Amino acid sequence: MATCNRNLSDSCDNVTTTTTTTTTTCLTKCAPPTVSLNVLPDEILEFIFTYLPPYGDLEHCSLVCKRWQLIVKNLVRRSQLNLEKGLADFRLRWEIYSQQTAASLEANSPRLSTGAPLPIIAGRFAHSTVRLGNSMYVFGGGSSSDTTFNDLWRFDLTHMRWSRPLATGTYPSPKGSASMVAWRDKLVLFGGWRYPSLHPPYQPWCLFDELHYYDLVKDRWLARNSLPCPPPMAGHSATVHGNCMVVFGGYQIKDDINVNSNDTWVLDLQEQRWWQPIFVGNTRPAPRYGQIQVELDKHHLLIVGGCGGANRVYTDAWLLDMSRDAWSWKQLNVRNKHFGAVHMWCNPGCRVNNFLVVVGPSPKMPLDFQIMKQSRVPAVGGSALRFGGLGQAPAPPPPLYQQQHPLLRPGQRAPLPERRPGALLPDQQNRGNGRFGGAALPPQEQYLANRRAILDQNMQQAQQFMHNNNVNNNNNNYQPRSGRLSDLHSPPAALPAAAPAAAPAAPDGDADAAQRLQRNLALRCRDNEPLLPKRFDEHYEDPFRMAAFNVPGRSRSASRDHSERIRRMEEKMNAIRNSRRSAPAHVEPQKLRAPSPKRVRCNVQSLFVCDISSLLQRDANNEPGLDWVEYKNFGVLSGAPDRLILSSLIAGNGELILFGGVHKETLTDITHHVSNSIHFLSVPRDII
Amino acid sequence: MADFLRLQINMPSIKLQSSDEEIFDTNIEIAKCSGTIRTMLEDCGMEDDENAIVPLPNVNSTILRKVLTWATYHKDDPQPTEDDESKEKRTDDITSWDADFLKVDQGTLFELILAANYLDIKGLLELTCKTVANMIKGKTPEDIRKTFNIKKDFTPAEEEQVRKENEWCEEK
Repeated sequence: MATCNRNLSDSCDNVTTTTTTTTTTCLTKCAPPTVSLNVLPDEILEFIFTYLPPYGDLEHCSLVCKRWQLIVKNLVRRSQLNLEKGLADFRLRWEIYSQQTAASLEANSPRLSTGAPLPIIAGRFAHSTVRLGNSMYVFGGGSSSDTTFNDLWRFDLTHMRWSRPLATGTYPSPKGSASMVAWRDKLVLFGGWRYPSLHPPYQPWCLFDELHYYDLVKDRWLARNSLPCPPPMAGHSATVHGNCMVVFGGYQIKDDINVNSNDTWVLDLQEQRWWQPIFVGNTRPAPRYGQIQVELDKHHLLIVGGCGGANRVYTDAWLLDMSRDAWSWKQLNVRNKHFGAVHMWCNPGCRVNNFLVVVGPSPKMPLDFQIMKQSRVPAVGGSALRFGGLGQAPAPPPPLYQQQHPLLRPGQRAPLPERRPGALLPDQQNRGNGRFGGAALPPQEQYLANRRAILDQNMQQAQQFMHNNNVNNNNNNYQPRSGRLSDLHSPPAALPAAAPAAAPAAPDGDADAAQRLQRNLALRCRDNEPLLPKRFDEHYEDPFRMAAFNVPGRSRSASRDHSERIRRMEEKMNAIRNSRRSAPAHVEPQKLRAPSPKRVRCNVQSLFVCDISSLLQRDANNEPGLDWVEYKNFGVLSGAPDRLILSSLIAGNGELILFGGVHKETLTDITHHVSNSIHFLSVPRDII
Repeated sequence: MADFLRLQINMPSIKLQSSDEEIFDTNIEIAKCSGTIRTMLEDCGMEDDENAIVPLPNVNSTILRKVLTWATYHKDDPQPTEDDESKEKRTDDITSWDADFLKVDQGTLFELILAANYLDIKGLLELTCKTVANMIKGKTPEDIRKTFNIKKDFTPAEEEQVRKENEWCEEK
């Protein structure tokens, strides 16, 4: 940087000649023992500060002296602008803070270690997250084993470490998908779900109407339940406007019936009193849960996406105007939808000034679950009771599973066109049936055939399991999810018996092979069904139902398998890192700077950015709307995290912070793969 | 002259002259880790001239020796590549050699920063600045002032004002 060098030569002259002149920026170096950091020019000091976590340490720096304060101010402003610029250009990178990072940080800094290892939060999903000052607070969420947490954790962004405050008072119930907001020095937690108890089976999810305040000064939970209060709900959204918390939508129990809601509730945070606003007109968003809600200003908020039940995933946007006595909803134009995020009900989003940022599955990928989703409705895996209970007709079998079949090579993939979610209508599903393997059964019979095959397979699996168990207790062969992390998104290697049988599958005309393929698909359906996370509006399926035999050994070694995999992954990463250091000659000569679309990893999180500046300006000439920004490289950025759902995203200082989540394919397994890693999205460092 | 420089005697070399007029006979590849020297050589067409002397009026011999030691050790470092690997979020990833190398008094450290900036050596600049950042981390403003010999020029009222601004940032 030219300016910098010029400044530098000034300061260098000062240093080397020890003149007595003092410029405004460069203080003169006096006698050697009293050298001051202020000999460095502003640019270098600012560069040094970029290596500090942009939280407490930076605040301390601003209190050192006037010059430092100005530099810090500039740095904060610049890093915020850089983040926005990076979002607009998709020029950002991901960095991970995992359990391994924590451990190695601890090992490297002896002053941190106090003997006992630092606590680390357990992996989770559908947790509640909020940032207050230099801390990120995380409450509850779903665990790896069909239970929910009620613990509260604090991640210290300054020192980059987890701690769990010792809280007193009345704890909230263990729950997920609760809303948590920060207000003054308190956290406000409302609603949430937990898994139904397993007996009797097929109960609906438990929902909560609990309201809790957490006092950060006293580390104390306070339960505040007063009437009237909103019905029990989960997956609702909440933002703070002044002294009010505005809650919208959610999956609720109303008059003993589970419904999606489009109601708005307001909590007066000071008086701890609920009320419902009056609206102008009848225009309002369709009932939904899981939507993204962001505060625009004191009197406006934005709702984007959400899910209204099976096959009703929304990508619309609504503005709530609270500036008058009677509130009003306004549907907003969404432009450039082509570049927009999909599935904005299980993927998190947050606002960064002029932008709405959503992290989610990569778009336009044929194997993506947004295509899978359409066909699964209650298909297989449910019971007769479930169909009867819900009063739904059995859906046609899932023709589109074929797309994910492991044995189909790309050329053999069913020639279905790519579809956006929500584009697949039921009649299209039926049309797809004709391509299904070769079986021409009517939907109902085919469904039953699938069921039979599944039952057969489960018997086989159980036998296989017992056999393996006898042979070698530590043998991972029977593990449904053995393999590398990267395999997670390919069909599970769960079918030791079926895999050899299906191996020679050559589905061109060979009836036998077609039958095998058909069978295999059915097995796969069962094993992986549903391909989506459980939604609140689905009845809970007991995961133990079909797997009575293999529960004990399986769950235990599954977690061992999981940590083993993490260890292997880490070893691999270390090996790569070491080989780069020690043997640079072996490094690939030229890496492509921008990977071509072919190289895009499809099992990682993509970034979606939406320009919401027209909502903030409220210019009478401009029709307010959302403009999705054209993504680059499918929104996949360097170091992108594995694709998880139901994680949380919050805005930090000049960075975005993604935490937790679950691999969606493992939600139906005994042990879910949940994450306790934090991923930071920030602008690559500029060298001055 | 240091031994490590003599080892390179068969390689094409250039002469670097420090501010106190000491001449360093340096392997040209090592010297070229400095963007400034690289530009000078290219612009002035000195690359083929064995006897050309590159004057570096902003760097004294002590510091230049340190810089060349560092550059020699790191001459085979691979260029940083952009890849899909997850990078860990941390700033303390300083190798032990570098940490030992930077066990110097503050004056030398700051001069190294200035020299790295003037000579445009990214790796060394990053390393030295990271080291200073690590010295700042976890310290109170008062500790920072003491550590780096900085005079406090806030009045109590002004200090209070800055604190308030920080709090406001926190709420926002």
